[in-house]
Amino acid sequence: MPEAAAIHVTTRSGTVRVAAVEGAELAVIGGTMQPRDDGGIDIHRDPAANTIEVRCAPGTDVTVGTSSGKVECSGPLGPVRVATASGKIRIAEAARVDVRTTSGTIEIGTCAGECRIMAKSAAVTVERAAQATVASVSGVVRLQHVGDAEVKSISGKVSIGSTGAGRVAVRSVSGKVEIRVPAATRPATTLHSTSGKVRSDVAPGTDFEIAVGSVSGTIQVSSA
Amino acid sequence: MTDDYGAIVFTDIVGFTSLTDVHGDDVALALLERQEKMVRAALPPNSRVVKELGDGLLLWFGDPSDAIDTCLQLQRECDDVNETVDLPLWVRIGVHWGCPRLRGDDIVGRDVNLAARIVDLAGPGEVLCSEVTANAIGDRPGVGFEPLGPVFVRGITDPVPIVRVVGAPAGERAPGDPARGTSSR
Repeated sequence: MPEAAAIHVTTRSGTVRVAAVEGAELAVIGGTMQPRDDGGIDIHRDPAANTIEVRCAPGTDVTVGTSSGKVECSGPLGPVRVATASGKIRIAEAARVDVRTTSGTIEIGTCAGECRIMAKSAAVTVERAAQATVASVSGVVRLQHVGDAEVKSISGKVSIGSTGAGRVAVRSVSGKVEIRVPAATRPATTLHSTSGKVRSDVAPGTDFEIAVGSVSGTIQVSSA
Repeated sequence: MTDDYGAIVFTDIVGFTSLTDVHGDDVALALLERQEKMVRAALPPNSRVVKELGDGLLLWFGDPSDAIDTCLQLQRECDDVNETVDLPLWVRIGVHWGCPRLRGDDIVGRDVNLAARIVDLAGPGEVLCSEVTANAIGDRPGVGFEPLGPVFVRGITDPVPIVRVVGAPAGERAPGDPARGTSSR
């Protein structure tokens, strides 16, 4: 079966909905398709439309570039990249994710590979990812079930649920850092806060590594 | 008069305003000095600091590969230093290959504006560049380019194709390096 063409959706504003549906051929409502030299498809919003709706095959490589508005991706997609300034972004299921925004809400369902999120003041939630790389200045970061995790935060709260399958590394300046590990696991922890409280309820071991550094934030590691 | 093509680079300290608010002006000043010292020490010939911009620097490189190599080196140095200090210096970097106009020692024009917008998209420790820059460099061992797609940036009418620059340790191929077989550029 041939690989689905990569799609590139660009619109300065409005809503973008991309749905991966088993057996679907590429179809667009509210936008026009244009083939690219690299074999991909450019999709631009019709001037009269407020929403671009795209149906595509599972595993499709998706790129969305917008300034503001809502981006909703449903169904099992391939790599998904979204760059915007503000708005709500929801990606239900993807092979890889790269999202960058200044503000708004970012919700990722399941990411099989690397989930890379660069935000300034957005609220970030990742339900499940094999690998999460997240940076935020002041937004709240919630990683619910992640293997490898690397988080950089200036002042937002960071909450991580580790699956115990990878290294968890957090660097924070002043935000609170909470990490939950699976019951009965024994991580190797390196926890340091210059002026904040540090508390760990888990027995030390070598199952996986947790490294957290903060200037003034509280650090707490506990069993789920 | 049209001036020479070159790589226009913006650096920016992530969260500088918040850091200054929480930790005070002395800490802010120390971060600025740490950034400037590292940048000036890393600059190759045929490059210069054009000017300081609050918590960032505007740089000029005559060669795009020099620019990318220097930016990746800077990020590696930041990572190394951050391992040893309480307060991390997180720098993000944006690069665009273009032909700005000279105004005294300063450079101005659309290409400068675009480079300034590219850095806005970068996260701490990242180097982003325009696809134009990546194309000017071509294949380069140890350097990969991961496309982020056409992106709308403030003040620029058309979406701009942006890529993330990925370096690799010596002797290894970077993700996105064509020779590694993962590039989609």
